[in-house]
Amino acid sequence: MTASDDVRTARRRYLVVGCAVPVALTLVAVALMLAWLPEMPATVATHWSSTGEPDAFASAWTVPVGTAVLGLGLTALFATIMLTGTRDGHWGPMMRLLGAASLATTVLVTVGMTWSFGLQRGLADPHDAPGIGLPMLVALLLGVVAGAAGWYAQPNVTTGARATRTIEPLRLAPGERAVWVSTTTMSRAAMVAIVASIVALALGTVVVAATGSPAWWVMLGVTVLLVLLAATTFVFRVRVDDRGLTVASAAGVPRFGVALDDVASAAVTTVNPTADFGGWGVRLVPNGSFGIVLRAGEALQVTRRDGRRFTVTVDDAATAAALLEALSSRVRGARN
Amino acid sequence: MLIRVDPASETPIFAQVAASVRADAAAGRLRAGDKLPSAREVAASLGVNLHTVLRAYQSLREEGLVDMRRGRGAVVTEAVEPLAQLHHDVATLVARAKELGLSPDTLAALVKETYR
Repeated sequence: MTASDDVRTARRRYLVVGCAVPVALTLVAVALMLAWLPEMPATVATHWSSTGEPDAFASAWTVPVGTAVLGLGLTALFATIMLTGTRDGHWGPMMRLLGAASLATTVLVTVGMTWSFGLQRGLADPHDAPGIGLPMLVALLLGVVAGAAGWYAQPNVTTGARATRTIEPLRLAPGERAVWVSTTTMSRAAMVAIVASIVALALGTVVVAATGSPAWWVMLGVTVLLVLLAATTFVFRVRVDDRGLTVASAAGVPRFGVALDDVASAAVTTVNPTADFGGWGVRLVPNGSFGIVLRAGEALQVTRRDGRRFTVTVDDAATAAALLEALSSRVRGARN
Repeated sequence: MLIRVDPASETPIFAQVAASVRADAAAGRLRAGDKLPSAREVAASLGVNLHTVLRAYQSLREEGLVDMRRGRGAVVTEAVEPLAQLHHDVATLVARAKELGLSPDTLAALVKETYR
């Protein structure tokens, strides 16, 4: 089978696991809720406090509508990420994870919402709604099981490897010392998207705070955390010297790298952020591959001695790889 | 950018650092506005004295290739553009000189003589 056949199979499986099944589940859940509607009180509990008491209520019809919007919306969101990220025929383990996550979240949402809705059939007063600890626990477990099943129902296809090219070591005189330094910056489009979503979250925090809900401080915490993450992951300094590869945020921390004696090989590769790493930023992929992915395109890929990979998107990666090869072969020569 | 120094070479270390930056500029790897790595970072990576690197940056500043500003470090100036434009011609000339068995010093002397 050729690579593109593999990708077609993987994509078809994704569409079953991450789209068709979630959509079917959502439709079944909504149909069930609509059938129950005549038995429901006019308003139902939609939210429970941490002590198990219902603390928020809404008209009964909003629950099936909300389930439909949430179930179909999440599926569409995941599918859009997959379809736009793999337009160029790339596929990777993050796509497999995305399909499994799509199924898992839909199972969690539909089971949780349908069960908590069904519990309230025949109630006169929604304040008497029973606690939903058990339904939520079961929904969570089913979500995890569905996610695992969705993962194994999809084939393991990775197309990234074909773009990698090995590099001749840089010619260094014995005793010659060298350093390669570069700066890598988040692509403007990704930066705009991240800043926009943080602004949206900040606005949401203000709105929630204005309604007097105590949830606002959690949202504030998340907003501050995201601002910190964004500020420290937009620009990285990349350095290759006789200590190995160092990738440090322009802010100083965080700092990543591969020690010289842990370098097995260095190469140049082409990164597709969505297919290879599931997005932008500091990324860990299920297969153990670690990436600092700030844009699509040229990247330095270092393979460690245990086979795990460290990738950073950076210009002039060929020079960096050549120097790293030269320095690490020197260390290997000294060891043997 | 790549900076390399060979302690066994007769060329002083500071001149080798400066030559590396110049070579990067000539190869088009440096653009006007790019920041050179801090002298301290380069010195630590190469295992040379901080003042050696600062001296190299100082000589690049005298050539007008970089601008040194307090707090901003060494920034590449517009002067790199002509260097990058000559890159291809120089590469061709060097390849031809190698074919003919000319030493780098002879070639440099020839170029200097012709320029006068």
